[in-house]
Amino acid sequence: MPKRLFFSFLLLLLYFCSPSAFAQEKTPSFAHITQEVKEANALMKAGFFEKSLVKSRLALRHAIAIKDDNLIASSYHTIAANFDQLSEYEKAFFYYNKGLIYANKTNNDVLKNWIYNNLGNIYCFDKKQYEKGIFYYKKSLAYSKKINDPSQVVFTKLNIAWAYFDIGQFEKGYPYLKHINLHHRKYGDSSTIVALNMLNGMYYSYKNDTKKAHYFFQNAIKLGNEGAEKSDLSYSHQEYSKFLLKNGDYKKAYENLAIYNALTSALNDEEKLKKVNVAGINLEIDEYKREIEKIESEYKYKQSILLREQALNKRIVIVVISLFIVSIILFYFFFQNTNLKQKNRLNSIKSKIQQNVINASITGQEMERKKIATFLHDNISALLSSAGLHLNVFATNTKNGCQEISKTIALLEEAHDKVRDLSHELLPVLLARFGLLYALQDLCEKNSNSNILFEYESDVAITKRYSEEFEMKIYFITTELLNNIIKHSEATLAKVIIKEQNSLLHIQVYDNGNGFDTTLNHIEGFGITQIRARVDTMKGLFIINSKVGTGTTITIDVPVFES
Amino acid sequence: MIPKIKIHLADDHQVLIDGMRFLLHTVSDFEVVGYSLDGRDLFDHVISNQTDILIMDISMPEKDGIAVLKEFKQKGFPCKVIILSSYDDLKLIKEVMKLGSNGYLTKKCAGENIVEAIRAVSNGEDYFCKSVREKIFNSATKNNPKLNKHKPIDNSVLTDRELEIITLISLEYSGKEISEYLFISTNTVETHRKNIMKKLHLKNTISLVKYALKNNLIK
Repeated sequence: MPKRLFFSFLLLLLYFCSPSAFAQEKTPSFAHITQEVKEANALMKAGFFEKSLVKSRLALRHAIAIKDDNLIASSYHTIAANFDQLSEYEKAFFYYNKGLIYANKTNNDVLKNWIYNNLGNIYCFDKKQYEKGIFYYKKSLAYSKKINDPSQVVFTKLNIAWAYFDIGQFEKGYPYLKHINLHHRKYGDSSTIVALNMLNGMYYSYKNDTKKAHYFFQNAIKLGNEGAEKSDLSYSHQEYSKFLLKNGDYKKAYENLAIYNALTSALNDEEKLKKVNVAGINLEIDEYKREIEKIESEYKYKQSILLREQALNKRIVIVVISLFIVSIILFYFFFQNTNLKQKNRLNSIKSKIQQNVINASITGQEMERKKIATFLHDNISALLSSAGLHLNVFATNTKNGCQEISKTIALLEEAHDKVRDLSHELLPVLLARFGLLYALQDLCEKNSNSNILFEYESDVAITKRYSEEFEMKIYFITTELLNNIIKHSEATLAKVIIKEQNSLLHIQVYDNGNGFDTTLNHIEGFGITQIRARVDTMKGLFIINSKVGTGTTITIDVPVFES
Repeated sequence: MIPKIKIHLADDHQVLIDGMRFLLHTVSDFEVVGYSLDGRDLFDHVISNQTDILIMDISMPEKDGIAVLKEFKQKGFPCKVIILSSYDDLKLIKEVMKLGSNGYLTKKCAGENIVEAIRAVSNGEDYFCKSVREKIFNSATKNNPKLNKHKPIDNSVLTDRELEIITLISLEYSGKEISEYLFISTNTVETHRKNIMKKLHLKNTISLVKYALKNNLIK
C-alpha cells in the first residue's frame, strides 16, 4: 500500500528539508528542537513508535515555547504519523489537522504537501469519504507542483487515480493514470509499481479489455510476490478476483479471493502484533493526548493573555495618542485665544492712547488758544502800537510829511489788524470780557444773514459767568455746530437754546435743514466725532436727532463749572 | 495861560506808556500826570492827581478796564475816560460806552488820533477813531436800501461825524435811535444836529433832508 510506503519517504524528506528551512534562524534552542524533531522522525522510521512519540511530544512542547509554527507543525506531523503507523487513525487524523493549522501559517509547502496527502489517505482508506479524500489529494497535488517535485506529482496522482477507481469513476481517474504510466519509469519507484499495474488492470477490466486486464493483474501479482508491498499484493488479488468473477472464471476468482483473504489476515495479524507491542503505550496515549492538549491550552492561554495585553497596549497607545492630539488642539486654541486677547488688549490700549491724545489735545487746546491770543493781543499789539506812536511823534516833529514814514505807519496798522483778527479768532474778546452767553448771543447775531437766521434763546442771565475753560469749551463746540449748519444743512432757520438746570448746562442747537440718516455711522464726520469726544471729556451727553428732510437737533448736556 | 489838560495813562505795557508819554509830550497843553500798569487803585490815583482824562486799556491784569469803568460808574466818574484798546468789536465798544466811557480808540489809531481824541473829549464830545466810527455807522445803516453806498462828496463844511448824523436823520432815525446806534448820548446827537443846522444855515429838519438828498447822502 503506497500510503505506508509513503511515510518513510516523508520522514526522510522532513529530515532533510526541516534544517534547510530553518537554517536562517540558528538560535541554540531552535537548533535543539530541530534536532529533537529529527530524532523523533528517526525513531519512528526505525519502528520505535513509543520512543518517537515521547521525543516528538518533547519537541512539540519546546516548539510551542518558542512559538515556532514550523516546528510545531512538524512535531504534530510526527505524532500523527506515529499514530497512523499504529493504525490509530482517529488520533492520527486529529494531529494531522492540528499540524495542518500550523503548517498553513508557514510557507513550508513540502510539509503541507505531505499533510494533505496523509489526510487524503485517511479519508479514502479509513473513513471511506472519497470525495473529501480526493479534495485533499488535489490540494496535495497543487503543493507537489508548487515545490516542483515530479516524483511527488506521480505519487499523488497515483493516489487520486486509485480513489477515483475505488468509487467506480474510471473516466475521471484515467487522466491521472495516464500521467503515471507516462512518467513512472522516470520518477516512480518499486514501491508503487504493483499498485500501478493493479490500477491499469482495473481500468482495462472496466474497459472490458480482458486481455490487457489479465496481463496487468498478473503482472501486478508477479511483482507483488517479488517485492515487499504485501498489502498492495493483497489488493491486487482482490481486484483480480473481481475481474475474474465478472468474466465468469469462478474457479480462478475463488482462488484469488482465497489468496487475498490469506494475505489480509496475515497483515491483520501483523498489525495486531504491532498493536500488542505498543499496547503498553496505548494507556499512555490518552494521558499523552491530554498533556498535549494541556500544553496547547496553556499556549492558547498565554497567547490570549498576550493578545489581551497587546489589545490593552493598543488601547493605551490610542488613548495616549488621542490625548496628545486633543492637547495639541487645546493648546492651539489656547494659543489662539491668548493671541486674540493680547491683540484685543493691544487694540484697547491703542484706542485708549488715541483717546488720551485726543483728550489731551482738546483739553490743552483752550488754554493754548488763550495763551496765544493773550500774547498776541497784549505783547505784539502793544509793541506795534508803541512803534506807531514813536513814528507819529517823529512825523509830527519833522512837520513835512515824509511818505516813507506814513507808509510804515500804514504797514504797522495792517500788521496790527492782522494780529487783532487772529487774536480775536483764537479767543473772542466778548467771551473773555463778558462771558459765554454774551458771546453766544453775539455769535448768533453775527452769523445771521439774508440766507439764514440764527435765533438765540436763553433763560440764563446774560451776565452769568462760568469757569474760563468751561466757557471756551462750550463756545467752541457751539461755534463748530453753527459752522456745520452753515456749511452743510442749507437751513434757513437755526436756533440755539441754552438752559441751566441742576448744575447741568443744556445746549440745544436746532436747524430746519436737510438733516441726515443717523443710522449710517459714516455720515458722522470727523467734526462730529471731535465734538462728541470733547463732550465726552466734559463727562457730558451728546445726542443727535436727525432725519432726512426734517432738520437736525443736537442736544448737549454738560455739568457746569462755575468760575 | 490856558490850564493844561492833565492826562493819566493806564496800560500794562510799559513800552506803550513810554510811547504815549513821548507822543503827548510833544503837545504843549497836555500834561501826563501819572500812569498805572494795572486797574487796582486807579480810582484813587486819578482823584489824587486831579486827572482830567484817563486813557485806559481794557485788558489789564488784576482789574481790567471794564471793572474800572464799573467802579467809576458806581462811585461817580472822577474824570473823563478814553478807552485805548486793540479790540474793535462793536459790542465791546457799545458796552464800554454804556459804562460811561467818553471815547474809544483802537491802538492801531493811537498815534494818529490820540491828540484829536483828547481834545474832543476835553470839549465834551464823544470820540471814536475813524475806523471805529465807520464801523459803527455801517452797522447802524446796515441793509438800509436808501443809503447811498458810494462815499459822498468831500464836504469841507461838515465833519465826518456830522455827515453821519445828517444821513441818519434823513433816513428817519429818531434822536434816541441815533444815540443807540452810534453809542452816543441823545444830548450829543442834539448838539451835532444844532451844529449842522448852524453851519448849513438850515431852518428845519425838512431842509436838512433836502440837503442830504442833494448831496447824494441818501437815495
